[in-house]
Formats: sequence, structure tokens, C-alpha cells
Amino acid sequence: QEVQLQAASCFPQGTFFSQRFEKMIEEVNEKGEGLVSINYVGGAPAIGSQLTVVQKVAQGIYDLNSCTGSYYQNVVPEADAWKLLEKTPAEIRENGGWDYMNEIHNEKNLEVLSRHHYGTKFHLFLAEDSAIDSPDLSGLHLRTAPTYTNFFKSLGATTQDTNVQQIFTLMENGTVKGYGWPVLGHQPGWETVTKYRVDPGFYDVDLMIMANKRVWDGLPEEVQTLIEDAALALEEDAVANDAALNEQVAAKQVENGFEVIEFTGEEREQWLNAARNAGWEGVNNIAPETGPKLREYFAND
Amino acid sequence: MEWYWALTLLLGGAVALLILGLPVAFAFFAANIAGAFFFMRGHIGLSLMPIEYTLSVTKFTLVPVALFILMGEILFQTGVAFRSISAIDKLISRMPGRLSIVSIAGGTVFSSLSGSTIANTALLGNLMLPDMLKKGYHPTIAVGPIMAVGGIAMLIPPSALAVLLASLAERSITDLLMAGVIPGILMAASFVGYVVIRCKINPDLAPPTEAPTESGWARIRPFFVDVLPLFLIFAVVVGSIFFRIAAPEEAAALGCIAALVISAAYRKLNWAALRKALRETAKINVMLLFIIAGSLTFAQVLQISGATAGVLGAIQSMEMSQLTAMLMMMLLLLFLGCFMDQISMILLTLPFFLPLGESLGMNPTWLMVMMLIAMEISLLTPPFGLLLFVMKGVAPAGVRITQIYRAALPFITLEILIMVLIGLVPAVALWLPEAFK
Amino acid sequence: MNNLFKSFDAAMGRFYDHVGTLVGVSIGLFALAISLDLVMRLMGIGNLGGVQEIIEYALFAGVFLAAPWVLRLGAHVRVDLVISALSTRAARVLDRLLDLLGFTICALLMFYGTINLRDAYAFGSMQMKYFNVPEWWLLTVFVVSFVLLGIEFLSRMARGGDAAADHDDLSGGM
Ligand code: NA
Ligand code: NA
Repeated sequence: QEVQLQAASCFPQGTFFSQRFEKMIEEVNEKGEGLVSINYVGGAPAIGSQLTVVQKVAQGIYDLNSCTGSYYQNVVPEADAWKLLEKTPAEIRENGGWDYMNEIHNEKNLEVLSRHHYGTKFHLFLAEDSAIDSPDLSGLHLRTAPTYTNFFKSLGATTQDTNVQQIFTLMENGTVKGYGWPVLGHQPGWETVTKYRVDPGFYDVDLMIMANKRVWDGLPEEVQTLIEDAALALEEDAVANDAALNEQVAAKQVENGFEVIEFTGEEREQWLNAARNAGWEGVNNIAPETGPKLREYFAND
Repeated sequence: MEWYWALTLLLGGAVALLILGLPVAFAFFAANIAGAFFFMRGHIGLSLMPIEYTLSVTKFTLVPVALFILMGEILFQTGVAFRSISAIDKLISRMPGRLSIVSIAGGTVFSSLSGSTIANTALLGNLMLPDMLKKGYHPTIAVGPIMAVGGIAMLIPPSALAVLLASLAERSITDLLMAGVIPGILMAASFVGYVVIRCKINPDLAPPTEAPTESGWARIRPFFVDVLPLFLIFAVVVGSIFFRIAAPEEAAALGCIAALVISAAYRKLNWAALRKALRETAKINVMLLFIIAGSLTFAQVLQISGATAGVLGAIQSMEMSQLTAMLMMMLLLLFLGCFMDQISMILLTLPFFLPLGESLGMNPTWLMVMMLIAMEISLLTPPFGLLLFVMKGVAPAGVRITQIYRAALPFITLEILIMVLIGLVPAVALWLPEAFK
Repeated sequence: MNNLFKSFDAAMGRFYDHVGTLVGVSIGLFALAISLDLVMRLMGIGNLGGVQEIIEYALFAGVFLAAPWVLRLGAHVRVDLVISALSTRAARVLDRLLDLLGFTICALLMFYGTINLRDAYAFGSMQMKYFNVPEWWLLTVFVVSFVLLGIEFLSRMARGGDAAADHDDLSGGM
């Protein structure tokens, strides 16, 4: 009897942050023919708000999904801590951090299978008239996503949370002077309204593959193994290759005319510390009991 | 369930309820309930649908819809718009179909001040039509231009519908607003040309009326006093967008402030008029956005059911060229437009058109302008055309709906011609948004 | 009974009248706040933090809370092709049936809205942007909206159509 599963992504179908998950589904469907068949319904926002995808997995409308932590803080407040991971996935699987985080997810009926992006940092990108020379963002109005709102605010910026499609327009008319984004996955046109990239990058782009726990526990062992292996293969791939890929694209951006504002020495520490402190503070605020414990597992303090 | 059954259930259900006369928003709600039940695992799917509705209209990009309507309402309710049209009347000299030309000129001016086609048509219908009929104008040449120019309000910025379309498509609102300017002006020009030629060939259609008796400054003065200052509002809205000073939301807000300031400068601003304008705006905005809530979720259910992918796959397997695909899309819209309002049309077709256009490499702004024009035409196509009904509502009792239908025909033809032109030469629309990139 | 309904209906009418004005005024305030925010930005004196988000939530609340008012005015767009082709009597029957269908839709959405609200409360689901807003607040608005809409559909049946609205002229639309 073939198991029928339903899968969804928090990012638009076919885009950079959905592609690996989509390939995994194809692979599982191929290898598991007769055993399991995953129906991929697509990605947000075409299937609904990106903030409801994990809710729907937890409640059982979908069985599998791929999502970034800041999109499902409304279900698992601690999820935001995924971006603060400083150890490798293998290290936290070793030190108990993965299990601890997974147990938190289990309480919301979610089972975390793997992390399929690792080693990609977020950067601050700025418009031509908005160069900065120190880790001080006061006076800058920035487009943010919940991932780095706290960080930018803590350095004095004002922020505006918008959908991705708005970034170009807002930069173009100067409503915002910059935005946070990884080096990868820029949309066409952004290069025309962006001049500076601020280095070093901060946080780590996190995309997690999750399953509905009740459904997961009920799967035949063969199917579990099949999906788990495919998911873990993505994680190993990410750990092995993402950082290098990231560097390649970063260099290419410079070739194509981006200028880098690089903080070194003390300023570099200041910048990165502000990021991680704001990050953990955000987590601790909404999860005062589990937050500090997660930091012990996740951070290199 | 096969995708075509899903499509039949969802689309068929929504359209059936729509045609029966259930308010549009509720037709979508009903289809969504059925869709969630069948494709999102019944009870569970339904119990997460409300938050989806909630988030669907919690969007800043939808704010200009209300504000563009408010601008026009302020000018309309305070009476400033009426004065501007009488000033235009003074300006236009004796020529064939003079009053029709006044209507078209006045309507074009008001189009650049209001985001609402209905307000535009109602204004001109109230103001110009009784006079035209009394002076012996044939209904065709009296009623037709008013309805036609009324529709231009959604092409020339500000346009609530353009904002809605671009915001639902998650594409540049700025570009779409800019892309409507030249097609809108072209249409107004073609209407004038048509009226002049028709009336020249057949002077009985529009008996010569008195042209303004004043001359010199007395004749021009009202234009400077009552019309020219209004262009400040247009300059504020379009200028701030065009020169990339303001986002569309901000430009719309500035437009409202400008409309207020100008009404106050004419000493026409009072609480009663403002209250009326605000309430009217609220009414229309709620009506529009409530439908949006129902239909955005409808598009999501279509996607989850596999219907969207199925239809797109079927169309893509036909390997159409860009132009053929555009032609098919427009024919479908024109057909739907005979029976449906514009919002429902956008909402039913956008989930298919956008990915299809994208897969064929169409410029999304081009596609959206073409859609806007198709919807503008649908305002005039019988039997269900919003402006036809508005005209019936404001026209004197003697004017029959069949006369109104007939009066619309030549203008529908002109609009289709312009649509074909932009279909073949996209640059006509796209030049302006590209010009300031 | 009839009188009771009439005075209830009239009271609802007065209530909605205020809702309509309030939502209208909120839209006016959007224009002021956004303009102020823009001017501050252009003058380089910062921003009204979170103003955009307040407007987003106000927009949502306005749409859902004023939807019953709009229904009462008969101003929700509907296609009257079929109805206008029917005889007066048949049209009236169809109208009643549509009101009943409308009521059923509202009852279902109210029911599932309540379940969603309960779950969101139990889960502690939050919308976290500039402000942290519990999702159950938003869902409360949703549920209230559909309770009122359901009542309005029933009232329409009892009344036989739109309420005699304030004489709004035809100025609306797209
Ligand atoms: Na307009
Ligand atoms: Na029509």
C-alpha cells in the first residue's frame, strides 16, 4: 500500500530556497515508487501566507515542509534560534542541541528532519547614498524581515517589514535605504538600486525540513528511512558546499560593481556581537526558559 | 481528484453562485469552503482558513485603493469637480458635437484626479447629459462619450484598479500606473476624433449649441481658476511617483491631502461633504477588499487542488507564441467581461494568466495594462457592464437600456482598436515607465 | 414580534452608521499618517515607527467590521443577470434563497473562525513584525464580523431586501 503524503514550502515554488526541497521530493518519489508518493502542492504565497505553512503542517493539512525559522515563530517561538547556529549541524546532533530543539518542536506536533542550507550568511545591503563607516545604523530606514529586525533596530535603524516584491520599489524611490538578504538569491533588478554590501555577514541562513509528528511516527520504517536519508543528504551537501558557493557569488557581486564596506578588528566584533546579542535577546524574550539553554547548545560562547 | 474535476468544482461553483446573484465575495467564500473541505483534508483545512482571510487584506500595498477613491470623492462631494467641468465648457468653442467634446475633456481631467470610473461617469452623467438631451443631442452621441471617458479613470493614474491588479500580482504598482497614462490619453483622443467625424457627417446627431458668449479673459479665466489648480493634485500624485520621491501608498496619501487643501482653498470644504466622502470611500473600499479576501484564498485553493498547475500544463503543451497567448487571454477576458465585474475577472484569471505570461517571457506590466484595458472595455459591454448601469441610473427616465447599449458600441470598438495597437506595439504603454528608470 | 424586529433592525442600522463613519475616518487618518511619515523621511528626521503596521491592521479590521454595514446597504457587488430576468415573485424567492445561503456561509465561517481562534489562543500564535500581535485578536475580529454578517443575512430575509439606506448617490466604484 503506497503512502500518500502532502508537502509544501514557505518559499515560492521553483525559487532558490525551495529548489533543494523540491528535488528531494522528486528523488523520494522515484526511489520510493510503490512505497510512498509525495504530492507537492507548491510554495507560499501561492498556497497561502508563508506564516501559515508550518501551522498547517502542525495541524495536519500538510505532512512535510521546508521553512525558515523566522516564518514559523508563531508556532514555535524558539524557531528563530535556528539562524543563530554557530556550530555545525553535526556538532549539535552530537551535543544534544538538535534533540533538545526537536523536543520543543515535538510539543507542537512537529518533527525536524534536517537543515538543507548551512554556511550562508545574511548581509546588510545599502543604497548608493547610504554608505556607513561604522556599525551604527542610526538614521537609516531599512527593509527587514523578522530575522534581523531586532538586530538593525538595536544599532539605531528604523525598520519596515514588507514582502519581497516590494524591496525593489522601496529601494528605488528611497523609502528604504537598505535591506537584509543573503548573498545568494537576489532578484533581478536589485543590483540597479544597491551599491554597498556590508561585510562580515551575520547569522546563518536556516531552512529546515519538518514533518507532522503524528504522521511521521505512523510511517512504515522503510518510508521513514527513505525520506530521512534524502533529507540528511541535503544537509551534508549544504555543510560541504554552501560556504564555498557563497564566497563565489560574493566575489562575483564585487566584479559586477558592488562595493564592500568591511568592518575589521574591533568593529567587526562589535557588528557580529550586536547581531548575536539582538538575536538571542529576541529568542529569550519570547522563550525565557528554553532560550538560554539553546544558546548553550548552539553558540560558540 | 483529477485537476479538471477540481477546476470544474471550484471555478464552476464560484461562477454559478456569482451568476445566480450571490454577492461576489460570498460566492468566493462558498467555493473556498468546498475547496478546503475537499483539498485540505476537510475539517482541519477549514479551521485554518480564517487566519488566511485575515492575513489576505492585512497589507500595506492595498492602502492606495482606498486613498485613490478618497481623492476623487473629496473633489466630487465638495462640488469642486462640478465647477471644473463648467469651466471647461466655457473654454471649448463652437465645433461639431461640442458638448460631447466638453464631456470627454472634462472626463479626462477628472480621470487624472479620481481613481474611480463610477464616480467619473456619474459626475458627467449628472452634469452634462440632461443638458445635451435637452439641446437635441442624439442619445448615441450624448450617452456614449460620457460612459467611455468615465472608464478612462481606471487607466490614467490615480487608479484604484491598477493598484489592486499590481498588488495582487505582486508586481510594480509604479510601473503599471505609469503605463496607463499614454493609452488613456490615446483613448480620449480617439473619442474626440470619433465624435467630430460622426457629427460632421451627420450634423443632426448634435444640433449646434451656443458656444460660450464670453470672449478673451472672461472665457479663459474660469479655466485658470477652476481647472488649472486641480492639476496640482495630479502633479503631486503622478510627479511624486514618476520622480521616485514617494511610494504609491505615499503618493496616494499626498493626493488626498492635496485634494483637501484645494477644496479648502475654494472654500468648499465642510464637515458634511468630508464625512460623505469618507463614508463613500469606506463603503467602496470595504466592498472591494472583502472580495479580495475571498478571492485571494480562492486562488490559493485552486493552486493546492492542482487545478492551476493542470490548466497551465495543458496550455503550455499547446506551445503558443506570446502573441497568440495574449490574444487568447484577452478574448477570454472580453467574454467574461460581458457577464462579470472587473474584480471577479481579475481574480478568476490572474492565477492562470500571470504564470502563463511569465513562462512565455511576457513583460508583466504589458500583460497587466492589457488586462486593465480589457476590463475597461468590460465596463461597457452588454449585458453586464457597470458603467452601463450607472448611466441608466443617472440618465433621464426616457433613455432606454437598449439605447445605452447601442451608444456604447462605437466606443467599445475604439477601445478594442487601441488594445490591439498596444498588443502589437507594447512600447506605446511601456515607454513611460521605462523612461524614468 | 414584528415590532421587536423592527426596533432591533433600526438599532443595528444606527450602530452600522457609526461603524461606517468610523471606518471612513480611519481611512482619512491613513492619509494623514502616511503623509506625515513621508515628510519626516524627506526632511531626514526619522520615521513614525510601526505606522505601516498599525495601518495594515486597521485596514483589516475596518474591512471586516464594516462588511455587515456594506451588506446592509446592498453595496456588495452582485451580478443580477438572473434575478432581473425573473418575474418579481420568482426573483423574491431566489433572493430569499440566496440570503439563506449567505447565512449558511457566514455560520460556517463563524464556526471555523471560532475553532481557529481557540487553536491560536491555545498555541499562543503571534504575528511578529514591528509589533507582536496575538493571532487570536485578529480572529476575534473575524468571528465578530461573520456573526454580524449572519445576523444581517437573516434580517434581509425578514425585511425582504436591502435596508432603506441613507440616500447615498451613485458615486462609488472602481
Ligand atoms: Na484615474
Ligand atoms: Na461588460
